[in-house]
Amino acid sequence: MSAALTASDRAFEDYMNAVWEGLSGIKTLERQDAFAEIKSHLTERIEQLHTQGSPHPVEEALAALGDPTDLARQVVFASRQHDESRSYLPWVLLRAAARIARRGAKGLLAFLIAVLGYGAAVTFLAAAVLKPLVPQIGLWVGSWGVIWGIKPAGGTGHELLGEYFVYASVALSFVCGSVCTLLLQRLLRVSKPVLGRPSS
Amino acid sequence: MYVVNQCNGSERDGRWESQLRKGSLDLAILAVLWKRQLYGLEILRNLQEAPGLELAEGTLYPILTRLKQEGMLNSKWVEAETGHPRKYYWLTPAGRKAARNMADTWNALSRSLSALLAPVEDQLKETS
Repeated sequence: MSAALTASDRAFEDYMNAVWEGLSGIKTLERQDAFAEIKSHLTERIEQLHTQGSPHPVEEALAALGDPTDLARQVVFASRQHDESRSYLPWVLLRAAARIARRGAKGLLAFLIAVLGYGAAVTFLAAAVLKPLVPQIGLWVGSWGVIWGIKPAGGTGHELLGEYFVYASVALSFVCGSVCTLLLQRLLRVSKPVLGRPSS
Repeated sequence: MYVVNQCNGSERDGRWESQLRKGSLDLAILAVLWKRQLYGLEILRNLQEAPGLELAEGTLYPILTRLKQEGMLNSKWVEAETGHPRKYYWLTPAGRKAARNMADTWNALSRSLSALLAPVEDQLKETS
């Protein structure tokens, strides 16, 4: 009897340790809160099952709650998703988009928007910064077509924007970054975690 | 070939039912909390009383976390008579508004589908 109790206690402890580890991706207060809630749920469920005469109340309660790592992962996802979907920081949105990219078409779309949108924003900004150092950078129109960047070798053509190139590049960088941010926030808000089933 | 098709149909039905249940869980939880504040196990018990809305225990807490983060729910810890604390949830004004909107949408959809399904149900009655 004592050995059985010890094994159950160990199972409970292992489960809670795995939950605590799994909750590492969120703020300390939220982590403690989620941990305490799951522990409270389990404690009460075990008492109920014990009263109902279950021979293995601890194991049954743990199985009903499912895999601890999966449970913690879903809580972390639900918690972080809200913060991330309201963030204006490109690296936070990029990281969130990379995480949901594996979850389906919507996630993949978010990741592609993030890469292309922020990639374009960085490119336009780099063009604006480099223009004073590399005068060949500009909006070139000629026999090679239309090019936003360094004038290609050979062929004929002329630069359209002149001194306004820097302002236009900065403006385009801002537009690309802003549109990308707003689209990502929207996509992250509608993206829900894949909810697992209990392991029992 | 017939067996394969039947399996695919059954899998599809299962997927559809699963998606429908997942999509309605938010509304079900908000509805359960409409009248009074409840803690996790009570929410589960209330849902289990409604056929077809049984929820895996591990599924509840991520949903509650999300709904709270979205401002639909609020929560507080209350020391229970049994000794251990319980985390009670209740609807915020935004949660009540969302529940009303979702209920309206649900009712409108249900009415439209019922009208569309009337011939199917008539045939089912005839065959049974």
